Amino acid sequence: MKRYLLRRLLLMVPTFLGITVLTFAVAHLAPGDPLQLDQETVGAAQADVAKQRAEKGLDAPLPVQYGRWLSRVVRFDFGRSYIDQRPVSEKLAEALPRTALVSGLAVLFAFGLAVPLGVFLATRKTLLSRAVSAGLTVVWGVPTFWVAVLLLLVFSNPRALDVLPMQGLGEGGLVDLAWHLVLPVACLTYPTLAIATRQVRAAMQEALTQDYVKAARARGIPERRVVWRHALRNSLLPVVTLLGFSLPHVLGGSVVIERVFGIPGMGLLAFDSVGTRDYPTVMGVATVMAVATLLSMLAVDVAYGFIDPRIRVEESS
Amino acid sequence: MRVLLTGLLASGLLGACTCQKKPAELDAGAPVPAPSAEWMQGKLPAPKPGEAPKKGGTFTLRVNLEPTGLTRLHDQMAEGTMTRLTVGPIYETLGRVDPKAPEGPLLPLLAEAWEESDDHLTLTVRLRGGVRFHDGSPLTAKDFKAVVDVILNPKNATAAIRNYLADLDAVTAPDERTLVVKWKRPYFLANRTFLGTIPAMPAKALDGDFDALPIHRAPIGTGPFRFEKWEAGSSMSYARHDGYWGQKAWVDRVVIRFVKDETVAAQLWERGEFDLMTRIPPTVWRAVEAPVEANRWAITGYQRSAFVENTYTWIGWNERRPFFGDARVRRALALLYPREQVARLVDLGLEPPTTCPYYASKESCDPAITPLPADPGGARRLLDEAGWKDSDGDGVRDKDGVPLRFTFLATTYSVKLGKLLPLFQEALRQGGVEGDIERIDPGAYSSRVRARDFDVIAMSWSSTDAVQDVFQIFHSSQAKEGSNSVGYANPEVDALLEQIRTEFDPKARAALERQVHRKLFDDQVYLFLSLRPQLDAVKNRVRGLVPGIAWYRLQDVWLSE
Amino acid sequence: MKGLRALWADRAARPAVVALGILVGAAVFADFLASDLPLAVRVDGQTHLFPCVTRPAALRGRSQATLTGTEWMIRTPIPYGPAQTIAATGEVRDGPPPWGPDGAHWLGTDEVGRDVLARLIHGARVSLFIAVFTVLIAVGVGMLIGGVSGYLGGATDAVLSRLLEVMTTFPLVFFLIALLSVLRTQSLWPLVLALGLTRWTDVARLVRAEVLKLKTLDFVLAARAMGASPLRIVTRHLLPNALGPVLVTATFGVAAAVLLETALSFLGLGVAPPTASWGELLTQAHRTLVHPGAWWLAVFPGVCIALTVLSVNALGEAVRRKVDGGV
Repeated sequence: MKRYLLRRLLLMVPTFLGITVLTFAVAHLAPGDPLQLDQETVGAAQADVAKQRAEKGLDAPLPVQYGRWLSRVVRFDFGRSYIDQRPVSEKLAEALPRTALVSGLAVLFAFGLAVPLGVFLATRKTLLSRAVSAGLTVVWGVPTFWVAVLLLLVFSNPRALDVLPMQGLGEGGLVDLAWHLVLPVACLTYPTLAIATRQVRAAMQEALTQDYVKAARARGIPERRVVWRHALRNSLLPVVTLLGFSLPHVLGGSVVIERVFGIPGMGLLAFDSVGTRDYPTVMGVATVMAVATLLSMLAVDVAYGFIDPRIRVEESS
Repeated sequence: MRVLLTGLLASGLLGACTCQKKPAELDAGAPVPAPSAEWMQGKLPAPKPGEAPKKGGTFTLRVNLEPTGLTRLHDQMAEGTMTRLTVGPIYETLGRVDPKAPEGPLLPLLAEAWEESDDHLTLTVRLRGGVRFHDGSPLTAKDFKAVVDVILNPKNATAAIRNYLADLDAVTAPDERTLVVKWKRPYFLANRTFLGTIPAMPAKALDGDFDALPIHRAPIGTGPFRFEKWEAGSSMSYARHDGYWGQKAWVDRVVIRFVKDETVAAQLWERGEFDLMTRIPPTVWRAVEAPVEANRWAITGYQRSAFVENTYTWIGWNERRPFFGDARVRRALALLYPREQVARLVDLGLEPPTTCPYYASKESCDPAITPLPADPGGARRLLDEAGWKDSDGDGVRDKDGVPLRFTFLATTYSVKLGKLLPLFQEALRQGGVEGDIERIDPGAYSSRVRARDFDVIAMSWSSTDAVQDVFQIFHSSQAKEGSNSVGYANPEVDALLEQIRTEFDPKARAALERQVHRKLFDDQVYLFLSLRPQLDAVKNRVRGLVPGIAWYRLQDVWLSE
Repeated sequence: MKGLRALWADRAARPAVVALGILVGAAVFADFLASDLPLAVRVDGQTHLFPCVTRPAALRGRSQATLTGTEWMIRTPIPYGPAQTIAATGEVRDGPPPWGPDGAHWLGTDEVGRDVLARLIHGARVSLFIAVFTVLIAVGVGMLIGGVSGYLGGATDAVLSRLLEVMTTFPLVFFLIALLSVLRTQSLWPLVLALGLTRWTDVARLVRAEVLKLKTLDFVLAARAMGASPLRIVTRHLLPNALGPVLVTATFGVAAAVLLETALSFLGLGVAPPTASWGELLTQAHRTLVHPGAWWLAVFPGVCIALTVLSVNALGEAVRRKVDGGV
């Protein structure tokens, strides 16, 4: 296990470099640079701008710039934002917890609900289960921002139900925070919930036809136990995979939801910094995302081993 | 099953939308009064006689963008409008624009008086005594000198504000309360800009790595409010500065909330969360006017303020392109512009048309000039005359094998252009002209404009002072790197603009400026669109707000309850 | 055709097939259904057949609403083009648009007076085009990389697997902004390319796993023993057998791409104006829903999107049943 983990960690290095190189290249592929953004309205002297560019190292060849960036990042120095001159690490430290909270809760709810719901849908064939199943498909078909706007219109509108706050995460206090979290978390939960439930249901249906389940039933083990112990364990594999792949998106945040609900998290930070060509921030966000992804992929592999002892971790790499 | 569910979904959505028409139960019953004429026009009511200002309360206002920093100095952080709104109550300058006569001389603020030498090359300022910064340290002439030094240091990202001091010879502080400013050459705006732009900042807060100065994000000034806190992404707050040298502010705190999304902002406004709602979109402004139950909150709870500020929008033709070099083509395109439809359907009658690059209501504009009316027939004749005819029968005019087809460059976020350009596009098509629309993100936009890599752009210019110089925008020397991005070059205009720079008599200058206005109109450098009004709403309990060219003065605000 | 008939035989999938048939039909025949120019017209002594498609220069700048001096004219069912604003129709009403549904505009108009139904029909073309081509690119790239990676194994697999990991995390928005500003075109291709080139990872992962499983099976070993080239083995034996699961993923991918288009439109990164797309309409709806309460801009495109995603998903399920049952 130790050797496996070590090997996996080493394999992360090329992936990490790949992600950052690609982000760096693509970000610089887009024309426009940060020191030009406001010049049109202020008419700054060109010579000064050239001097500042040189000072910021923006006139060096791209590989050199990347090298400089990398050498600073390994010392945990993300540099300063070109736009507001704050340390990028400070901006990340502000945004990351917000996104982790909102999106983390959403994933928790989505998967927490998906498992019992999926099992329910797989084992019962009633009108209710059909309705729930159809309902989940329907909501998955509606764009998130659209649902967000409608929810605001219903729950935060003085002319309708004026019960929930519209913007931000409140001004401290757990109750206030929870109140502010309801709508954004709901909006982020439902698409994942729909997909995850579908996965669980499908896996469960398949598991229930397998020989070992039949054997367990034949041995007289109660159906409840058959479903929740034997079958579920095996149907969790695809769910864990899905969870692993949703984690990076969780930390990347949803730009759309963060925008509508005014939550200054990672998604908005990434979007805004790309728009303003704030490369240090763009790279900072990309780095955090890369590390998060790699760790969650590792976590998935390790979880496989725990859920299904038949899979030896060595093979699954 | 599936069809049925879709039907349900649709009716669910409908339900959600009709529920908002439900009357508010609070004060239902009494009919909604028709709004007053002042309310409709957006004129804030005059102060009520017998009401004395009182202290206390929190004044909350909405702004649509978050500033990147709270400073007038740093290039990347000192974005015009945002800075004006957010830094205004904290920093003070030596003089300020007179809100009642913005084109007149400046009023003293941190200066007691100043004196200009006869050759206009020396300005001697006598500072007000007993002024202290928010951190308790006294303001001296040395502080001003330190600010100027920081600005002039070429290593610092202060190119924008340094531009104003390009002709500066030297600034000296012979004693604590005297500041002497010397210029290399006379320029009519030099002193006014210095007095009205350079903020008072404590010298010791400017030591160190300029980019990393804490004062950029936690300003220390001499103004009636002191900075309290800034929650990145959501809000910032100021507290009354009790040690203020002048008339102290009335409200305890000012909270500025950053709400970018217009729909969300409108709903927060309706919930009553703002004492001052700014930048109301024209559609929302018009939508709350009908005296129906759904609008009761706005009609009975808020006063409206429509202030036509010194911002005008324009469409600029890149004269380096084969078709736009000819003034006749530019005029023809202006004649195709569906001015009436845009005014009625996009601006909703809220944006007065303009043709003038100067402060709209004043002497600098020639009152005889009115916008060109839409005249497709005249446009076709002009284009024929200029040699742009449809010679290959494809419906698009061409000349020497070049079709009259170009691309409008617009940022992805402009709602107004999103409506205006499709209208213009169709009107152009009626005249045999093809205009495509390319939307790009703001980052790429400004660099494309800077590289002159565009056919047509639509932008706006705004200014905080009624006394202006348009040299940077229209002089041919500014075509390569300055703000003359369309590449306009007219020797007569160049000569006028140069003459204006050294003309110190306002009357004589206005006469020259009228000539500039006339020439720019004849040449149709820009298709001038309209003056953009500032549409705001103020809660009933708020008193003392007066819109002006320098926005609002928040120290005059007080709350009646 | 055979596949379609088989799907039709699947009762549960039938409504989805019908709904998609209507949408695809609307997309394909959009020009005949809603256009500013008529189906046929005789004007100025000339007969034009299907000017709504051919768009003759003689009718430039004219429309069904403003065409005068016609001898006869066959109008399109919806006599408005998708980009036809009030500047062209010359409509005058009391208030400014958006106008609600009525006899003239069955589903209302948008903010500049464009007919919502016409924009929905032409938007179907755009949205479906984006979705289908995105998925085609994703499937192409995914099958290639997944197939090669799985079959060759070893160092190639290691490198390609890293690439897969890289692309899984790569933020679409970065890529899109960069592509849009580099390609500088009015067409839909930057959008399609950006979406396609970031969404191939699911397919690649699937194909790789499938190939890994298949390549140890007897028929592949036999082919190899008979001296078949690796290319032949991959294209003839492995990929066709992996096609089933890929088809399922691809179908769901179409639905996801339709949703992505709306989100990108909302962020201002959608199709160039005045092109109609469902996402563009929903974005207008976001602005106008509260004031002045233009529900029709929200409901109709919302229904179109939901209907498409639902139908495509139902189809995906049907394909899955078919594939699972068939293997």
